[in-house]
Amino acid sequence: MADLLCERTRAALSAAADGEPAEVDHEHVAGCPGCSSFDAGVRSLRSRLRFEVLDGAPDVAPRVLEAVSSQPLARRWLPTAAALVAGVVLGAAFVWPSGGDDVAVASLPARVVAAQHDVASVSAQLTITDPTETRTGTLRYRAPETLELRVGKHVLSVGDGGEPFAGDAPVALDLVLPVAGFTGAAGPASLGSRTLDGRPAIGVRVTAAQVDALLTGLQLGAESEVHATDPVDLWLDRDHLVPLSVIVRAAAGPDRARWAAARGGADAGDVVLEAHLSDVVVNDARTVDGLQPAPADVRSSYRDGAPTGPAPSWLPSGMAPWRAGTMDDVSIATWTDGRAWIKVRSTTAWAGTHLFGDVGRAVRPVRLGDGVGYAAEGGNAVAVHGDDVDVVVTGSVGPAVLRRVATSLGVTGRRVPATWDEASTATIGEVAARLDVLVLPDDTGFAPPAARLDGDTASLVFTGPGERLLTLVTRPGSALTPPLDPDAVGVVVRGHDARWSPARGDLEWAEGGQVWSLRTTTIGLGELVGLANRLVAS
Amino acid sequence: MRVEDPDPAVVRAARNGDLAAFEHLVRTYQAPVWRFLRHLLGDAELAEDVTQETFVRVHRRLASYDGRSRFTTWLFQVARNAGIDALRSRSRRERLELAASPHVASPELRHELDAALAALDRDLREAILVVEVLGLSYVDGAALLGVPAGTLKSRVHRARERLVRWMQAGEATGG
Repeated sequence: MADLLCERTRAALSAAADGEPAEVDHEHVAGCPGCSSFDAGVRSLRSRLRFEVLDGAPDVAPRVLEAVSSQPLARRWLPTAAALVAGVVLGAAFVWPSGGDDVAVASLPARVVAAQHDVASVSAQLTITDPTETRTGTLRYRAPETLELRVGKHVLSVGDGGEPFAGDAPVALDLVLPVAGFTGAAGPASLGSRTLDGRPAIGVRVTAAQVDALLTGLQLGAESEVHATDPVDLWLDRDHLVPLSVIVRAAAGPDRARWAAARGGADAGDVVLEAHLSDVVVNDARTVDGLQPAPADVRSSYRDGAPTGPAPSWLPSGMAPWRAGTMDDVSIATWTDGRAWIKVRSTTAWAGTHLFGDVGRAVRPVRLGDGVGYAAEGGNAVAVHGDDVDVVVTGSVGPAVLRRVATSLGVTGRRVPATWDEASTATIGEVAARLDVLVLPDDTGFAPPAARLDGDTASLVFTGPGERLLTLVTRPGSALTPPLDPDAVGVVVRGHDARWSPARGDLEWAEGGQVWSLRTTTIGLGELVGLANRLVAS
Repeated sequence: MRVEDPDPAVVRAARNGDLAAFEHLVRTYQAPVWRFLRHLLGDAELAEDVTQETFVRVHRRLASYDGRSRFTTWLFQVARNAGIDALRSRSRRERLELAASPHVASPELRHELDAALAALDRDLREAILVVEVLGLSYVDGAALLGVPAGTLKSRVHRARERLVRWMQAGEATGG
């Protein structure tokens, strides 16, 4: 057993090895077999751990890129802010059971849309439980873009003086669309009414993909994993539509089970995430007194200032200028009526080989006055490639308004160069001239698809509420390629034998001289087969 | 070998959805992430899967990286959490397997450094890995693990004592 001097000496040797100031008694080390052996051992350990040959380090980049290219763009915190403070983003997400008998729930879509303009501030206490721990925190929000969420030692601040409404990814608030067209393939249902935290509440059942932004916020600082198909019981304050309780359970189904097996996830029906808000105070400015925007990220090159790019000559009524500035070569201007917002980003220095503005590859050409623009999958961004300027218009106001704003910019949009990624973007009519085309009917709640033609392969991207996304790929052919996924299962789709590959979220079948593949990571097999059966000729 | 932070412009571009920038990050950091995970998990193949999962999570969560901590600290936090999830999953499976057959340490494995690492408590294993494999300072390593720097320092020392004893025992028995 080493004595105290040896203990001290070894601790000093250890610290010194890590470059820390430490007084090592070298005389003792030289004369003590135990300590000199420890010293040699530390060096040996270092040479074996730190300088090991890197042979054998795998290249995971191709698989990662494949996985993320089917993943929604990095989610932004702004929708989380919106999702946390009101059910606004959920408005479009509700898939209404026809003949729902709960009056409060039945009128919810319209009220949810209206709430966008009614909520000026929110403060609440949070309790979040996942399978490993319970965490508590606070939420404070002040319209239109300041949010502070504290959970345990984690703090999330939105509205940090950096780029306003940062992030060009599809913003969930944009999804405030007429909800009448949404009917229940998956059958999310009213859960009725009850009282929570002394407040009347109404409940609905949705899927995690539909309330992705909200769940992202509730997972702050945690690594609990929620699958896109997991059912979510969501209870909203009846008056302000602020979420009061969120309970996520593991879904059943082969895709979920496989996903969970790789992560040590929960069994079907287990609660995987539960959150409750208490002491909720809405529209009392005193409760958000002193809520300071976080200091700006010093690494951000965004600077407030006068925007230099094209400005819209038309905006919806009530929209007033909000923050504006520049970030590197990009000019940024924003407008808001309190909660709803519009942003125009532009640059004269775009050197990319795809559309400026991070609108994704699956875009739809749209008419903008005398020119053409490109609408992003969900319709929540419109990109314009002008003769000497590239512009993207984003916002929370819906696709028609964004198009009108983009049209009023005074920039004549051109078709993208043939070498750009979007050059193979096509209209449904152009695709239909080459191949049979199937589309989802309007009442499934998915927007008209963005289409591409790559050689003889057509891809149609359908966007639904939240993160729900489906891609339909078709090419001439009469037989499926051999299965790559060992867990593939057979199902019947549209009267044809089909194959479901859970690893890739891919449902494939042959029909009418074409091979069809319906891909998704956010919709479970049961609902997917239902949607496939409802595809109709365009 | 110290793992350097990337150019903030690359992180910003990746955050804004630039896949080429994200690929650059993956290619730059996949080897150190894999090494870290291989030692944490003691299983090269599982480490490969978890490395992949790490970067998928990084892509999904880039928006929440606010630039206030070092990017590499954040990246290895994600890797560590993904690794812990994998360990939890494995320990569930192993509990079932252990119930079927009592585990006997293989004498060959006993002299392997990986086996020595595997025998450490996770706290100690993580501590030695962030300092030795990632080459982080106590301050940066402590930020990664969410513990005070003094705690990390003493864990590193305890881990070293055990690993050195383990290696010496192996040498003494002819391993």
